[in-house]
Amino acid sequence: MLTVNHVTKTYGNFTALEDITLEFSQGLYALLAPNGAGKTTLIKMLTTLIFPTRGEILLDGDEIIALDETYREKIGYLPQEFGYYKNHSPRQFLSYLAALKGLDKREAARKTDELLELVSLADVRDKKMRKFSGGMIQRVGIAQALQNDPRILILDEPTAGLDPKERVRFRNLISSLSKNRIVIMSTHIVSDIETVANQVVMFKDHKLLANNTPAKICKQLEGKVFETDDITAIDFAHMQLTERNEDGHTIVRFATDSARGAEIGRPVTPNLEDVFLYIYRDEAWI
Amino acid sequence: MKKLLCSPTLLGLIVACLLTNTFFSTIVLGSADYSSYVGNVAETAGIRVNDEFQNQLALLQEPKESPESYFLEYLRKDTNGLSNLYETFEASSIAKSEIAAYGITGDVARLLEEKCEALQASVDAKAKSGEALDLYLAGFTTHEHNALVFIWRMFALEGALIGVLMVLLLIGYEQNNRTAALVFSLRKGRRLMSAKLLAAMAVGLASFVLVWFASMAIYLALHPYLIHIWHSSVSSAFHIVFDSFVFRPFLTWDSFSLFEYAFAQLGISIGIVLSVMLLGFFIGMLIKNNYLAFFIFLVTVMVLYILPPTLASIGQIEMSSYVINHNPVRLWWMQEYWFTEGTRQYLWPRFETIGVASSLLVLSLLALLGYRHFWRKDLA
Ligand SMILES: Nc1ncnc2c1ncn2[C@@H]1O[C@H](COP(=O)(O)OP(=O)(O)OP(=O)(O)O)[C@@H](O)[C@H]1O
Ligand SMILES: [Mg+2]
Repeated sequence: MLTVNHVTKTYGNFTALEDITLEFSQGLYALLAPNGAGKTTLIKMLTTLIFPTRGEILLDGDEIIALDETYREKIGYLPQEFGYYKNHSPRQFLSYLAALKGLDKREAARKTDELLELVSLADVRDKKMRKFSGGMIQRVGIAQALQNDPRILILDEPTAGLDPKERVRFRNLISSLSKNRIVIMSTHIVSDIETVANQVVMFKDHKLLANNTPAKICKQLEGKVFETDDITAIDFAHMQLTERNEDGHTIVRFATDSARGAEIGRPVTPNLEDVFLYIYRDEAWI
Repeated sequence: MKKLLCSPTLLGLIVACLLTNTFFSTIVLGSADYSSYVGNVAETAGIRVNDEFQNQLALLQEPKESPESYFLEYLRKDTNGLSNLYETFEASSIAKSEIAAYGITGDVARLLEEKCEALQASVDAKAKSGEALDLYLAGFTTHEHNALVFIWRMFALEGALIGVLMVLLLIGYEQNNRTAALVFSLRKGRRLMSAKLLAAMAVGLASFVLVWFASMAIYLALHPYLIHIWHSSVSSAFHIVFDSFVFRPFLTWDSFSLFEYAFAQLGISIGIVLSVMLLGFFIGMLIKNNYLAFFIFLVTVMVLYILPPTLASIGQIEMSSYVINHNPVRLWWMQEYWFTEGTRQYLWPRFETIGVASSLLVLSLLALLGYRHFWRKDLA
C-alpha cells in the first residue's frame, strides 16, 4: 500500500500541491485534472524525482525516500515527456535502462523483446530512434516502464500521441495490468479511463478535490445534466457542456441546478466528461 | 556510457591542444642556437663540468667568424672556473633576503626562516654530489628551462580544461538529452553520477597524459639538443631563477635530473588536473545548467587565483592566505617553483606536494558532499 500523507509541494513561494492525502492499493488510479493542476508534480514525488516540501510518502509504512533503491526497484515510470538517445535503437535504449534498473542482463534481453512485441514495435526494434514518430517513442516509453515488472506503475499521460488503435490496446493492457498491482496514471482524456479506472483522483486549486470511483463521481451530477437541441430557449442559470451533431441538429448538453432543466431538456446520465467540465468551469454560469 | 567518451568533442579537444602546444613549442625559445650548441657539446664532452670536460672543450675548434665560434667562446667563458655553488651556499640567505626586501615580520618571517633552514640539508647533499657543476644549458641563458615550465603549465591548463569539460559534459548529459526524468527515477539512476565522475576522471586523465607525452615528443623533436642534457641536474649552478631581490638558485628539496624533473612535473600536474575535475564535479552537482556550471567554475578559478593575495593584503587574516595559497589554481600558477622552497608565498616545505595532497583531499570531500546533495535534490 502506497500512502501519500499530508504532502505539500512548493516551488519557491508557489504552492503546486497542498496537503494531499491519498492511499493507493491494487487497481487503476486515474489522476484527472486540467493543465497545471499538479498531476506531474505528484507523480514526480511518487517517483522520488522531487521531494515533498512537507508531509511524507510511505510504502507499506516505510518512507520511500529512506527506502531509496528498494523503493525505486519496485516502480515503473513513464514520464510525461522524456528524451532518448537519438542514435540508440529501442533495444539498445531498453537494455541501457535495464542496466540502470539493475536487472539481470539475459533476463532483461528476453523481456525487452517481449515488451517490444507488446507495444507493436518488434519490427523496428533495431532501428535508430531518431526516425521515430512521437507515438512510437511513447510506446518505447511504455515498454520501458514495464521492464522490471513493477509493483507500482506510474504513467504520466501515457496515451498522449497514440493513435486510436494503440490507445485501445493500451487501455486493455493497463486494465489487465491493474489487476495485481498499483497503476497510477494521469490524463486529460476522459475516455481513456472512464471504463477502466477503479478510482478517479481530482485536484482543484492545488488541493485534493475527489478520490472516488467513476460511478460515484458521476453521481454528484445526477439529475442535473440534460440534452436539448434548442439551447437558446434556456432562460435560467445553466452551464453548457458538450455539443454534438445528430441528423443536422446541434444537440447541446448542459448542466443546471434549476428544477426547470427537465422542462427544456431531456435528462441524461452524467458521464465523467460532464463532471470534468462542470468541476473545472470558469465559474461562467450564464 | 564509456562509448560516449570517444566522442568527436574529446578528439577535437585533444587535437586542438596538440596544435596549440606545437605552436608554443616553436615560438617560446629565443636563444635556441646557443642551447643547441651546448647540447651538442654535451654529447661529446659530457654533462659534468670537470677537468675531462675542459680538456674536451679545449680540443674543440670552430670555423673563424662562424656563429659556432662565438658560442664556443661563450661556453668556455661560462664554464671556466665554475664553482660548486652549494659548497658555500646558505639556504637561509633566501629567507633573509626576502625578509629584508619585503619587510616581512612576525610569524611569517619565522616560518620562512625555518623553511629555508630545513632546506640546508638539501644544499649540503648537493654540495657533496657536485651537481651544481652540471652543464645544464650553461651560461646566463639557462632560461630555456623556463620555456619548458611554460610549456608544462600550458599542458596542465589544457588537461584541466579537457577534464572539467568531460566532467560537466557527462553529468549534464541527461539534462541535455532530457532523459533526466527517466534515468534518475531508476533504481541506480542517481548512482550514475559517481560512475560518471570515475569515467570522466579516467578519460580526462588519459587525455591529459596522452597530450602531455605527445606534446613533449613534439617539443623534443623541435629541440633535440635537450636530449643530451637530459641527465643534467636541474640544480645546476647555471640554473638561477631571476629575482630582483633574491639570489635564487633552482634549489630543489630532492635532486632531480631534467628527465626526472619532467616526470615529477607530470605527477604534480596530474594531481592538479584531478583536483580541478573534482571541483568541476562539485559545481556540476549543485548547478543543473551546464553552461552556468562552467561559468561558475571559471569564476571559482578566478576567485581561487586572486583570493590569497587579496587576503594577504588585508593583513589581518594573513595566515589563512598562506594556507589557501595551496589551492590548485595557485599551485598551477607557481609551477616554475615546484620542488623548490617556493618563494615567500609559501611558508612550509614542499608546498607543491602538500598543496596537491590537500587539494585532492578537500576537493574529494567537496565532491562527496556535492554527490550527497544531488542524492536529495529535486531533479526535474
Ligand atoms: N520546477 C518548477 N518550478 C516552478 N513551478 C513549477 C515547476 N514544475 C511545475 N511547476 C508549476 O506547478 C504547477 C503544476 O505543474 P504540473 O506539471 O504538476 O501540472 P500538470 O497537472 O502535470 O499539468 P499538465 O496537464 O499540463 O501536465 C504548474 O502551475 C507549474 O507551472
Ligand atoms: Mg503533467
